[in-house]
Amino acid sequence: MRNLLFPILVVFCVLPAGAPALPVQDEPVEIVSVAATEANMKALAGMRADVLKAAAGRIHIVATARDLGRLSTRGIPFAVETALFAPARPVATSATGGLNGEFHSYRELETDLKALEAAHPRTVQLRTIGTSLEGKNIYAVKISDAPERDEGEAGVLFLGCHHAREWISVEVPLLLARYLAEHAESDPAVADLVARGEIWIVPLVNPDGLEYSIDVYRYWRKNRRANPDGSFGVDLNRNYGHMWGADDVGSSPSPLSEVYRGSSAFSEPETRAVRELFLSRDFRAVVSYHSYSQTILYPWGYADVPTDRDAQLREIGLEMAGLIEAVNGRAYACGRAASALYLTNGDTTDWTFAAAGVPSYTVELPPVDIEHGSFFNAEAEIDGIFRENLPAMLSLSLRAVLSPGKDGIARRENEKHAAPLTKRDQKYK
Amino acid sequence: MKKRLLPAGAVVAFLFLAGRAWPQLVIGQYEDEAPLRSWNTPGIFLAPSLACGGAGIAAAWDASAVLVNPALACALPKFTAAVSTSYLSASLMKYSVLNTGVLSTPGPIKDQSYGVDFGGLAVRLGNWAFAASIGLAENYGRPLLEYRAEEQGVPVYSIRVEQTGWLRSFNLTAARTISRRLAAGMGIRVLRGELERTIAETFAADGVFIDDGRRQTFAGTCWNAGLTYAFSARVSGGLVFRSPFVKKASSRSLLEYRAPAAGTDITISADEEDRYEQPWIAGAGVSWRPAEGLRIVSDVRFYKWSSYKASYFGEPKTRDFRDVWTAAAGVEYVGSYRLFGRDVRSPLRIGVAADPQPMRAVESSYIYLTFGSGLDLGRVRLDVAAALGRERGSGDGLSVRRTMLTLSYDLGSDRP
Repeated sequence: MRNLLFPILVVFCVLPAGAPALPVQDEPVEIVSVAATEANMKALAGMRADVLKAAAGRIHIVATARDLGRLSTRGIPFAVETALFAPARPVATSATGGLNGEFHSYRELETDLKALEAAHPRTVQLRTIGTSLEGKNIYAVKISDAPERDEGEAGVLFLGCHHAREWISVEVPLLLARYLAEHAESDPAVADLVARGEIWIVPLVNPDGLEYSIDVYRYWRKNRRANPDGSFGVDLNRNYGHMWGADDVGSSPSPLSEVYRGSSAFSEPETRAVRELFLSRDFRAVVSYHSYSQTILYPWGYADVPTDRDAQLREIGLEMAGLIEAVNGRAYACGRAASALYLTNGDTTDWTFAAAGVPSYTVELPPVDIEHGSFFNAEAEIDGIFRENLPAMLSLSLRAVLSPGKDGIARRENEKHAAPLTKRDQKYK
Repeated sequence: MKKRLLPAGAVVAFLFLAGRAWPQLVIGQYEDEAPLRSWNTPGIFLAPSLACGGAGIAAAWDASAVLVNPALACALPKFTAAVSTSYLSASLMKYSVLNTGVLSTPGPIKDQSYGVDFGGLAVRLGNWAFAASIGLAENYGRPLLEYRAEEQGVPVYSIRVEQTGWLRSFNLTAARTISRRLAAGMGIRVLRGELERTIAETFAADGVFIDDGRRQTFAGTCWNAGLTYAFSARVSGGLVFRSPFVKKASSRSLLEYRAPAAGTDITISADEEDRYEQPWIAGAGVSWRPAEGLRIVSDVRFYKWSSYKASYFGEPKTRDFRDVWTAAAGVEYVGSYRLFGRDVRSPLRIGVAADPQPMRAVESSYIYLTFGSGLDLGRVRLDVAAALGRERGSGDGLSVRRTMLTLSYDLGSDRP
């Protein structure tokens, strides 16, 4: 039963609180759903309503202000579902046009993050957690009720764009930051979340690589390390410290390789920035966004062996997949990283789980396969992919910050389950 | 105007002058807008000036002189016209996807081009002089890159990277002799050009095609001004200034991912206005005739590269540039000979030049050795020149090899 509480709570979180005001224009203003009864269907036909879809016993319509008035007049109960779909009113963003279209470049992200902080100073604080090899800032957004204070609250960490070409992995955590900031005062559930804990979002771990991917070569994956052999790049998601370089399958010792793990664990400033942030806070859950394949992965990735908390990690992962599928029917697979995708040693979530024993997930965003776009997503898909992930993001955040120490995921309890830290980890811890 | 390399036979007449050399380009950077050979493009040199290291602020040989110093129009014959063609070979180590992480080569590769790159004329009317010309100011071409992978004879992957581009300069100049010693001139340059870059990738095994096409058209206007002063019958000097200007670009791109079997076609297109804020340039030169038939010329130029700013598809880009000084010097000796029963004059020229590049990350600099000769048949002159440049600083051993043939026609030998 407790497992159901979180999805229910999340659904209420994403629904706007209170009845909407009814503007008088005839422009579409909301997406609403009504029960799919015969009477309602007749009423909608009489209204000439713009039906969007019918599923799961509900009929969704794109409603004008007049439609909303008619529904109210006829006593037809409706639920506003706009938040589950692409926004009817586009959100202001600096990411428009240019080679990257509506995806963010480093500069556009910087501009938008500063604007977000300026617009929501009571809930958002922008911090620089490090700099890239080329000197670009690696930004972290802290969302909390008193972001300037170090309250030592439980937190959750969302990471994006370890891999340069995975542009969508910048957008999803960035949109989460915007969503939380914009709803922190108007939505009681979000307000409660930011009051009890800290949500940290690092939307762009690899800014140098992203810039190269935009300006020069779209399929660039690694960072921009100039390797001694004349090649470039370290795979940042093979550079973390747990079982780094465990074998040459899950990463490569060759600098030419797409999965080159670097000269040593945490050899790259980008991964060191994440490490130092992670070890400095009380994070109780981590999600690292990647693409593609629509899969939720949990440790271990370095070998096809379960952690001692495999069942719990799987349960939470499946719950996240279920929440995603409930939004729009898109199915995400869920599995242990090494078996569900491929071997990866030195990856982010193996290390965070090993270091702190907290639920750690790699979410591979859409598309599902190379034929449907691989590392490409259409600009029009950005908001939809965020929307489908939002309930799972909120669910995991709530798990992490609302039930410290009681549901078995509190960090300090977990540490005894964690794998031994490397010497370097212990030093930084 | 510019073409890809013609068959070797068409240029063999110049190649003997060139020998082996290495070309240049951007080091540690991969900007598409970098001119091939050198960032420093103060004007257009024809063969006589090129043979003297590119010096020419105080010395006029032909109609191109006004592009370096407009006041030199007053030092040309009553009417002069010139046309010039050149062969350029430049080696590049890092550009676009080459040796920046995607495709690698064990050493630099060469870009070669050949084309007519200048045509112009100048007239003198009393104390006034006027000139008009068209020239190739910059070349953005890059060597074609192509890589294909096969498995058991079946293509599985290919990538093709192509970049072409140029900037043409349309020039008008007016100059006036102010006194017996002093002349001043001013010119306007209208610049037009384009740059096109395409990367086409095919993942044959997956039936996926990725195309990244970008095209920019350039437009800009700048002015240049200059003075010449005759200190004596043997020594003269010159000062020049080229205004800073904005090279505006209309930039369009289309990034496309296609998997026809699955009906996937994802595109991102852009249509932006960009600005390349070019630096001002100032220079000084001297020309000294120590003896009959002998001339020594020398120039220094300053490029305010620290003011350079660029935007690329709507995004301001960081170009960490420093100001640079370039220097050039050359010696010309004109001797008279009997050829086919008539007296002809034939110059021999030799020069050196230092051409530091503005990138701050690597202190890269080209050193040029230049030389040339020609035939002066009275009204018609034919000059040839070669420049060999070698780069220091990057460790890549880049080089430039340039040969040039200039044909000039003078009406009236009354050089003032």
